[in-house]
Amino acid sequence: MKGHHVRLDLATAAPEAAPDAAPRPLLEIRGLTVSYPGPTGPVEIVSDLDLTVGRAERVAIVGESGSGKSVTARSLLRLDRRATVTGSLLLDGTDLLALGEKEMRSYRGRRIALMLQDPMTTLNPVLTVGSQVMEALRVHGVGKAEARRRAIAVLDRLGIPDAARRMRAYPHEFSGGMRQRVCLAMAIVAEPDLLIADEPTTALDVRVQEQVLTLIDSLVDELGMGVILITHDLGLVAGFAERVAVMYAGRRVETGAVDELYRSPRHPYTAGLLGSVARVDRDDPLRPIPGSPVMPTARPVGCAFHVRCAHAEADCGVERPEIRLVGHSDVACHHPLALREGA
Amino acid sequence: MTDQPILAASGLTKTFGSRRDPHRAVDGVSLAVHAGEILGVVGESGSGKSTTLRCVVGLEKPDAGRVTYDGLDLAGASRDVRRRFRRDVQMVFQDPYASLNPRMSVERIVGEGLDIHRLAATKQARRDRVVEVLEVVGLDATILDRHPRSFSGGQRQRIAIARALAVGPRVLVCDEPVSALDVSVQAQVVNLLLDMRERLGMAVVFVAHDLALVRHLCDQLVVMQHGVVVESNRCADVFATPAHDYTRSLLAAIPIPDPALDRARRRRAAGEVPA
Repeated sequence: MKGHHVRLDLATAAPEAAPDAAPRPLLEIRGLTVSYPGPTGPVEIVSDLDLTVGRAERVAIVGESGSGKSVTARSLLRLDRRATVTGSLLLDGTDLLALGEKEMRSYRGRRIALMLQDPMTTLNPVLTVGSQVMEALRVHGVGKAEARRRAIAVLDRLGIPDAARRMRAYPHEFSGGMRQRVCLAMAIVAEPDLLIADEPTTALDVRVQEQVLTLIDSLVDELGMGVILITHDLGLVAGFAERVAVMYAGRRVETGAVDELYRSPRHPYTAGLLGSVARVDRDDPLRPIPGSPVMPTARPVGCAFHVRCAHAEADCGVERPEIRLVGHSDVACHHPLALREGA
Repeated sequence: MTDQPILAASGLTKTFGSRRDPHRAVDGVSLAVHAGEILGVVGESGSGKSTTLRCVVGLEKPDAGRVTYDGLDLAGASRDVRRRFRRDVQMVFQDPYASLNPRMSVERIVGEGLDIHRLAATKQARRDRVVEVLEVVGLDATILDRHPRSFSGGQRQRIAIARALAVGPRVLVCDEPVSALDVSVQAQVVNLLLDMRERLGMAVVFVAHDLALVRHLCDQLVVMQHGVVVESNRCADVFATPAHDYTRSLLAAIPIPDPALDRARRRRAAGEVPA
């Protein structure tokens, strides 16, 4: 892909996009806490999450069901009215949580965009592909002819053959991989500063998975877009992300640079996730984590992971460990794993 | 392992759609699985692997081709042989949320096959067998009266496997049994399948799109594309020396959970296949 300079239409990029101008990170999440109303009062899904994403940086959020990773993604766009969101979400220094609904609307898609897992539910089956990609520009006041031109350019850029003609096609006329490209086109056509991709490749075959990640890669390289990729599979993002945040039961349990985190995971949950993934290059037996991920309504006291943890001691079931720096990673564990030899 | 496969299919063909617009989902597929062997079937969506499986177990009637069980052609087999086939070849489906009847208790779900095949003389014998297979999959008697809704995906898939095991099958046919599960739970189910092969000598047919998992689990491998088998060999050989271009392109796309290795792999892949 690299050296293959078909560029998006930069002449029409948002004027405030001035990369390298600000020293601050593109996105700074501080103390993000999200709760939803439950039958017996509010249920906290995400607790006190801190995370930063730089320009042109690829960050992966990894977690299993109930970890709060998707709720985090949706909160960044303030998509759920029922959710109570506290903390601060600074995009280029502006707190998204302090914006009025109308201002927020002008951010969605243009500054920060979300790409979802399932193209079948993201795409409207009765509208043409072209009109759906154009809509992401039209809502921000871009004229019809201009929107059409840019939509075709993006679809073409994402490898949809004969894009101008395919604009008139309906989602069902596309294969799964092509539909996922259309979803990516919708997300990036307005050239957002930050792309959040929630399990963008989970339903896809391995070769299409690879293509989608490569496309996102090239957009990061060419446009300086920051990316948060959300997945349940640590196996998927090793060669993609620069930094990884592992979430369990609504909290960040480990964050680190990708090489350190894979070479020497410090939180037993991160190590357990890595032990659960079959490797094509090695014959190690699978070492699954016992039990199942906990649901937000039934999180254990203390460290939420202690009931599944082989390294748990008495204090783990009593006091919740705070995030602290262990080696090169941020880890929330009373008894972090030792640095692996050779790491 | 004997030379005669427990379960084999040859020349399976199945066409869907109308006469004017036919779609050949499976086109002359052959495969075989022996006792104590795990056969993997891989291919991308639409390659016909699920339809092949459904033809093999008799959920779909193939247009052509035959399925043999212990060397006997099922098409001409006696009622007795066909009944034995339905007992000895059990299936586990992909989605444990859809494959368990929400109105039935765990005891009824797991015990249903025992009633159908008259394998339990008394209520107590039936209950004992249900508890026995629940224990095989890592569950216990305390859940007999509970309903599927109170279980996680991984637990449901264990219940589905227990249901398949209850009648003492010789072959377990699994269609993407772990792809709906969390990663940490996937590994549990895969180890369970390996363990059952070890302890019960069962044959397993395992359809999946996670190739790293397939390599870990399977002895033999069938690679399908567009309804056709493009490669069929010992699993280790397919991974070491893939014979078909399609197989090679699949293998090249498998992510490696090691940053340096995976970056190198991705650079190689990008160099070979210009987007």
